[in-house]
Amino acid sequence: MLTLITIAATGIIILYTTFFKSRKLLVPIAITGALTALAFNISDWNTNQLLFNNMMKIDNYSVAFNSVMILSLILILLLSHQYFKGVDKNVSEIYSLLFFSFTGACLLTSFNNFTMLFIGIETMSIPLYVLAGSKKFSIRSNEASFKYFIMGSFATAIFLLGVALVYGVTGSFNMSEVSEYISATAKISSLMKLGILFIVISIGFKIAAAPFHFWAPDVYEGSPTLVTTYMATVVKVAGIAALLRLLTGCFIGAAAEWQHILEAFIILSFVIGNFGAIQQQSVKRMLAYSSISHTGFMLLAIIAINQFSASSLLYYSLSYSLATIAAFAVLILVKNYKNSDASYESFNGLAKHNPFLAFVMLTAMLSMTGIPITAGFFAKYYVFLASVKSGYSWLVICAIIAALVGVAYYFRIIINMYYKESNSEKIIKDNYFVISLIIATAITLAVGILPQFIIGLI
Amino acid sequence: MDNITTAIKLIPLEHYVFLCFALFSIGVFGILFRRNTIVMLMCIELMLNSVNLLFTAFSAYRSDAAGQVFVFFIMVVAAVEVAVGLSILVMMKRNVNSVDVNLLNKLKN
Repeated sequence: MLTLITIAATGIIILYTTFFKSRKLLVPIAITGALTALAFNISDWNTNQLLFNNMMKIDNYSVAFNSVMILSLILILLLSHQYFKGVDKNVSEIYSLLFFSFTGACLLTSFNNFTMLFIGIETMSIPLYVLAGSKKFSIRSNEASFKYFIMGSFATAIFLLGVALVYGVTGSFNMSEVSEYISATAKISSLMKLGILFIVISIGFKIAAAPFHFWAPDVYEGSPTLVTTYMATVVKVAGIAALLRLLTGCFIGAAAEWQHILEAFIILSFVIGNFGAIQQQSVKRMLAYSSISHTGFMLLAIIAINQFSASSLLYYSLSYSLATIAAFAVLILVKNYKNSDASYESFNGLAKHNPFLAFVMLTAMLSMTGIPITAGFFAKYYVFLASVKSGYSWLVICAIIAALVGVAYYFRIIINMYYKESNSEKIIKDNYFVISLIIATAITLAVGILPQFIIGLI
Repeated sequence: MDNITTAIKLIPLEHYVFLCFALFSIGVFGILFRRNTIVMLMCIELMLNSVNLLFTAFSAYRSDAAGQVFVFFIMVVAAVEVAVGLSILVMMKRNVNSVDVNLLNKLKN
């Protein structure tokens, strides 16, 4: 609970720093808050508390996912100092909105009641609608914000209809009571099936799983890149963690009903994510499509629903978040330096004058593809292992093909960086930025070499 | 309170469910086919309120207050969403001087 309070309080404190006109203090305060939250979060390890009248359940699952998300948040905050350098107005509001949104993300990993799940989704999404539009005078940012808002509200309404139907059938919002009801009844009623369908679809909207992905490329492209990074990492991980918690804690008895939906999600995410990514000329859009394809891989861990699901999903979330943050960070630098639309060509010859940046991008791309010694390899390996154990070999074969197709667009950046010539110069980056890049790359490599640290946790 | 729940129970539960689905579908079609963003916001409100009605009906039929408490949460969130949605619209109106959704087509491949 202290984690949640710290995160929310940090958001409020940051809001008040506007009065002191102390721009320099913003990032240190934010990072101190996040680190304190991380410490409180880790101190909850192995405690298993039920809070707020059984509405929240802090267990190792939520602590582990919270830690991954707080790590992502810290890395994003480190990037933000340079990113907001040119912006002179309302920067502290952006930071506090990030923290308020993060409060919702923490609720999503530890809910034990549909009310809490609903509040978590909304607390996470509503600040994001504002953040997506935080470039007030850019029409593209407005468009991204509006699209995200309409799609998010639409998904919320569908989610609520699903919860209403589940409530109508079971008469409870509590996850364990709903789970007991499902295991006690021999035949699941059609209203219940419809409710489960609606709930899974609405979370599919939030995590941008195909066929409910269509907002994602536009929103990712139009939003400020830092917000996109947050959306692609923290929001997606929180949504996926919530989905696994919901399906194991609540709908495990009705697995046959939602596994078919997830099968469709996975196959479509692979197809649309990969073929969408190949066609893109803009790296930002490519990363958006590739995140759809990664959603497919993460859903693969959920569909398996066995004792390996949680740990393989945790590992995948960590490796995916780190690689995505590193990739977006380099993209921010290249995009600002060239003042371009972030096409593949702007990466030409990056290795010659910026070997560090090129190396960071190389590790990120290798990790996303799933090449050994980066975290991405074992991430995919454990996810495949989990789903093979549950008899989804055919899905794993599709996933391997999808991973191979991924080589096409990830390696295109690597080839452009290392084998193409251009007259680029050294890109200036501040210390915070370098620290963030080093942490992301180091953890990617360390976890890739020693996967048992993470995989044995939960 | 008791006579309200008995009054609600005078109408069969199925009727409430059908009414809510009808209202919800009107909201969905409104979002899909109307081009005015303010009407789209209203359609979202319609969807959320149809769910509220469903919660109230279920809650009354089960004599369980939890469903009605949930309605309060939905109302608060709906109010917040409208506040954010309208401010996004104001921002759009300032930039392009229109609230037509067809003008939002700058982000394409």
